Amino acid sequence: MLEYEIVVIGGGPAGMAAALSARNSGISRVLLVERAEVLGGILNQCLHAGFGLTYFGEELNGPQYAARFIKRIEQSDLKVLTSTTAVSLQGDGRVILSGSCGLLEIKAQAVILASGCRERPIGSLPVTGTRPAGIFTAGMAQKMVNLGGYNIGSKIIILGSGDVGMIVARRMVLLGKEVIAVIEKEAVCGGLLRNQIQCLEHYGIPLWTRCTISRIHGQERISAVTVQNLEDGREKYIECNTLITSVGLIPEQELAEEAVDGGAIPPWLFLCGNACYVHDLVDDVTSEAEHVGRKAAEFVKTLKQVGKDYKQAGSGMLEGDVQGAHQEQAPEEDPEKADIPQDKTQHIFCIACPKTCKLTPSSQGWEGTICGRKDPVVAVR
Amino acid sequence: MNCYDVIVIGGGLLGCFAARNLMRYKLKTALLERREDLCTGISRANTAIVYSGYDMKPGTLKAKMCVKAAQEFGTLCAELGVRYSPCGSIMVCFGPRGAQTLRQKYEQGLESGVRGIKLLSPQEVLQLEPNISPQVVLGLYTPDTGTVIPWELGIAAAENALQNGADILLNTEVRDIVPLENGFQINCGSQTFETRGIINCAGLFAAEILEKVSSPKVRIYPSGGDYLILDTKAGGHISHVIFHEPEHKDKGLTLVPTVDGNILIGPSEVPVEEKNFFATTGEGLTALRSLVSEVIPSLPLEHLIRSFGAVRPNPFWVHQDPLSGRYVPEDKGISSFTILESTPRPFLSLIGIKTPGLTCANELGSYVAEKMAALLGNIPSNPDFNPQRPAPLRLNDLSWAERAKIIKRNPLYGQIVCRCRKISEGEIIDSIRRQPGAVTVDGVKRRTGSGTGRCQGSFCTQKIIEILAREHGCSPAEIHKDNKGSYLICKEGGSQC
Repeated sequence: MLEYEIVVIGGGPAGMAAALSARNSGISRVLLVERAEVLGGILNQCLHAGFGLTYFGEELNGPQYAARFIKRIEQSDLKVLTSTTAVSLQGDGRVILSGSCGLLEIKAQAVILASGCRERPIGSLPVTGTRPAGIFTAGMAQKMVNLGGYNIGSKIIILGSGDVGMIVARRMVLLGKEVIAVIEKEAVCGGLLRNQIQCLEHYGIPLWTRCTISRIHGQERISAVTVQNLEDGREKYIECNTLITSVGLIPEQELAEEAVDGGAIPPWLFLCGNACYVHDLVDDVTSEAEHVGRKAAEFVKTLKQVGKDYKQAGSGMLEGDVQGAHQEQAPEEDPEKADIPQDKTQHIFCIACPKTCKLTPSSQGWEGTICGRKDPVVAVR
Repeated sequence: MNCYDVIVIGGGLLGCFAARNLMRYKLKTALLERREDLCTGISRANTAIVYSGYDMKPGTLKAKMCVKAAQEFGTLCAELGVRYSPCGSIMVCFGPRGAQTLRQKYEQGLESGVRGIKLLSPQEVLQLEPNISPQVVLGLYTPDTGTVIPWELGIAAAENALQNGADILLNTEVRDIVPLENGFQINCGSQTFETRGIINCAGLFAAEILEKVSSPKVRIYPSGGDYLILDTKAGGHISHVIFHEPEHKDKGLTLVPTVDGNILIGPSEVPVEEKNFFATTGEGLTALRSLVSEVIPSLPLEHLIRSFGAVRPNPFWVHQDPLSGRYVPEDKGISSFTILESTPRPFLSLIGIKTPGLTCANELGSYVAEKMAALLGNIPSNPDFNPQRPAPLRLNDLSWAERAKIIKRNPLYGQIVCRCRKISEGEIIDSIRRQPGAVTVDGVKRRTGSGTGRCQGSFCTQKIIEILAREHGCSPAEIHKDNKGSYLICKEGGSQC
């Protein structure tokens, strides 16, 4: 059995930031585990820009944002295992890893779970009809198109106006595909206003609010959907050959559930990134994960100082901190979240175009629109 | 010309088991399936229950077969290397009409020899299944009810048939059957077969196959049903199969704690017009939800991960209307197991086999095989028949130490492809290389369970397409979801793009 002070599960933005911050907080034996062949997580399939505005103060695309952390990791002495999946997290802090090199059992003093989230499947919705080929979740479609280079369809309906759905809608238009509409059951767009403007409005993709898909048609490949207007109940039959769904993200916490097994959350277990709760911006994921990395480092150091095994360490002593990492219950109300260092002052941006100009208030309204827009769409970060 | 002693038409559960049991005799056998894989019709949308046999009228073929099959089901699954959960069942009711039905079924069960059958008081029901609504008035328990994955069972039977020398021919649709002096010629487009006998297991289309050689006697009318599947997170909510006997004449609810740890809810009963109509309906799904709130109100429906539609075959005798010349069904459907024997050449048809068809699949297969052997005249039994089918490696069923050894031998077993079910690349490749192996994404799913977890394949489908393409030496665009036409990736320059 191998021993590490901290094992970080997941090599996406959260896991990379947490591992680096734990290492920089003086923990020497940190292991970062990633199931894919390369680090970066979902960032690798995000070819669009919009990352890093708050964290790096410049606009990057997903792979560029990931590359900055991958470079830092390469320069560090962090131990990284790629193509390795954590298959079990046991109540005593043992992690079981499965990879080509075999099955590894790791004893960790602290575990940071940064396993991201998964997409809600269409089967969880009250959509009736057949289940033919040609129905993809937005993340799956994004990966198939951007990383696989596959052509997944030409006449596309998007269900759900989440950010990924809108970004994929734009991507499909850029690839020369027809995106008939983005369908949203609420009265307003589900994702960021910035994406609504930059992905839908700028590309002329219709957003049909207060609508849903009530039925799927097609025997082998999807051939049409019935779109229902939720206001008046009217239905419309719309032909398509592809349906992309963006109907919600669910934190992937199964390993934590296995370790907890119905009992109390063990003090050595930390969650961060989208595995904790779903974030809008990767920049926030990075900052929070760095915080969690430091907290995990503190926890390990405390164990050392007390000279005790974590089992004997009074769990009350660290309870507050651990709770801080577990924001899945009510993240907004958690006092710990407010403690996350706000070392970056809030900036005001215009998000009406891809330039995302930084604004300053003036007596005339706003200053700083380098693109020359007179009607900035203001967003505060 | 391909010559056989017996050709089985239809690669559903029943066809697979007919082929398997024919191999107990010295009979050159082929199984023809029109689709790209086995068990893709009625068998793919099934309640997955092995019935103990108290529902059927005592003394009938159905009751006898079912009681025997349920008691021996564990042995059958062990032979075929198929997972089986003998979880037992509780039938519950919430009023006097239901209670009367339960008592009647109890008597039937006793008469048919259902082992361990007993009536339960509400307290006893709640002790065994604390989440059932406390309004329950009576329960009926049997230990011999169980659950199995229908396609896992069917594919195992087909593999076993193949290991014993049967030919399994996919993508082979029967167009015409021509009677010969000593058998039949079967035309399947580019291929033609000659055979001495035919076993018709064409499921929803069994009557159409039969009518290729005889005038209509029976027709099969489809009906539909909806199902819901809950994630394994809800799995612990029940531990037995739960049948609900409603107070009104509508269909009750069935809940199954599946072998994989999910909960299967359904089926509803809805009318359908098309035999290929595997679709869910709004009425059916609503009916299921309202039944759940009555029977087991605390069931966490928020863990829903999938719904699907099933089609069932309802056989009716038909007669020709003298005025219109059309064949019209009798008022009442056929409820018994119907095995039609056409003469003079050996042609057996399994017509509209419904519940408990899954339970009795091997019994029915053995029954028709024996009958066919007799019809073909004193066929000797096959001394080399091996009923054991080597089970595929399922890493999740092994200890960590065993897994470690396997990964050391073949590192692909260490690469997890399906995150939710933790299925490795090695298991996926095995499902493709086995015979008859997977050629579609759903074929891999049926053999390994990949893509059946909480993300429903959104993480692993692309990887599985790529593994299938690599193994079959084709382009990923040629890999289908489940059948011809169900393309996942468009071919460049193809008409869909």
